[in-house]
Amino acid sequence: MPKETIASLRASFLDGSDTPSKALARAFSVIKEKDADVHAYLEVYDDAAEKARALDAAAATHDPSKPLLGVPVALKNNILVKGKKATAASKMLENYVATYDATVTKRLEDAGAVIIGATNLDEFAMGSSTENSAFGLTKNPLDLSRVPGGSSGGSAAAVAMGSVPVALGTDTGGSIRLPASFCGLVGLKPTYGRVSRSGLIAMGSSLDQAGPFARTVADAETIFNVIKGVDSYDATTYAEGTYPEVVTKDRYRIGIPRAFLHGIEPDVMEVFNAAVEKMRALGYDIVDVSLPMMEKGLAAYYIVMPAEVSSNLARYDGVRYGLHVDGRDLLEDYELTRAQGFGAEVKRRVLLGTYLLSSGYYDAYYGKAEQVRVVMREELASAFKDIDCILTPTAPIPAWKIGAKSDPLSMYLADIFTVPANLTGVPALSVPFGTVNRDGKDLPIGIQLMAPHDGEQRLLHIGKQILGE
Amino acid sequence: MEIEEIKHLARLARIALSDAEVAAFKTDAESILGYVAQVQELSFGARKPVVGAHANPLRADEPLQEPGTYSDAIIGAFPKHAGRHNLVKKILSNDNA
Repeated sequence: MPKETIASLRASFLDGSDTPSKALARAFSVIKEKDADVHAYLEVYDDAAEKARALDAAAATHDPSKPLLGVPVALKNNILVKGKKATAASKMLENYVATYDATVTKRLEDAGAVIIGATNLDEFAMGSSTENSAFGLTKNPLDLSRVPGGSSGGSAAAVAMGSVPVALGTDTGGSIRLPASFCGLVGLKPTYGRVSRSGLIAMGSSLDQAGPFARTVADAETIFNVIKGVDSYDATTYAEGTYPEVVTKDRYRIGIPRAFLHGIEPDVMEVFNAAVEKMRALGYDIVDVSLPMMEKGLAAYYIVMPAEVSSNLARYDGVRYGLHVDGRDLLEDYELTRAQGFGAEVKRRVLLGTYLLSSGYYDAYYGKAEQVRVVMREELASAFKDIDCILTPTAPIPAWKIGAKSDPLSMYLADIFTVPANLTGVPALSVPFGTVNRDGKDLPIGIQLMAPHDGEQRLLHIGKQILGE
Repeated sequence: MEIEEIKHLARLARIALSDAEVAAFKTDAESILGYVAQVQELSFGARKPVVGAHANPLRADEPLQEPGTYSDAIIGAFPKHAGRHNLVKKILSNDNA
């Protein structure tokens, strides 16, 4: 299995021992060999071969503006690529062809990346396992009886099975970090507003961010540096200097919210404690930190997110694009289109959001949840006066068996440690650290670091120190 | 949550639900709402957190590309169209019979 990185590919392109065409051919052969079982991809782009060939000569030269020259990349299929299907893994958009490029797509291509295909996801990014795709689930390449995590499970599996060195996902409540943890990868959820959301199929607009999956922290950093920055098409992107500078240091002071760390499987906790020891060995100070409102994060998330989902998904009505089912009148067109176009989890969240925003319940749920977000932010700001980073497990459990979490709430609980970063907007990084054994298989475990707003460089620096990069 | 309330929600959300879907939603929604209702117990006291202080920045309402750049592609995505018009069903009717 090729375990290439952006750095290794670029080096071999530069010394002439490899070309983008050859790298792409290897990617396609891995897909041919493994994807019938894994189902990481919804579509593989035939025209990628031509694009790679066109870069073969140029890829042997160094161009600082093109750090990805000739590097194959896969994109979650809720990220628009002009002229390609953007299905969001939904029947609603099964035949929808994107009319423009997402800003992140354009930035990757401008940096020389070869986009090789679209990866599977939970429908409209709603799920923690990639079992909710309308086009069949994705399996974990490390153990085909288990889920890869979600919702960006296809992108994680595409990297983990060795087809691409890096892939993009989106993260609304953990949808990059959870699959990174389950598949043994590095996953970064940037600060809200650091990466443009233009051309991402919206789920929770105050929570969504795109970010990379990679095998190394250095590769995640390369992708992050390509996709980040102000974009006139997304007014929530922020300029340099908006937040106070988050400096890198030789040694860090790490806060662990111990009171929040319950419900974790014992051997996952052992791996987490080993990560803490590793940090001590690096000379870090480890302290306990009190963040009481974090306990309420998951409840607040499962109010705010469905509320935003119900608003965002109102646009799928069979009138302008996507599925159209004909009824007796316009109202029935809407009702039948949405009944046939949406899967069970999407309907559940749209209905819940409709309930939570309806008159009489709004203040009791949505209003309170938004207040929880404000207090969580205040608690974090206060904690970051004393500490540099917050450390938790990425998830309380390793990858579960396909079908093992059939009731929605039990799956939602897997997001307990990841949702606070989305609710507060801070960046968070999951790095693989150790394994636990289930049924004779070693399953990867991720640890999660959270930094103050705009603190990606600090997260990446710590990630590199932990992984010895 | 009552069955009639769920049917009303489905109408508000413009989703036709089967009876089986209504029943399944009742079970799921009660479990999820039972969990998220813990936010209602929170009291923020005199210092009520202000929501939305920095939310919803909007860019200037100016076109960012030449008019017509995407028109053909967007018209091509209409489920039904007549020339450059999107065809939808009438929502007003003249017959009051």
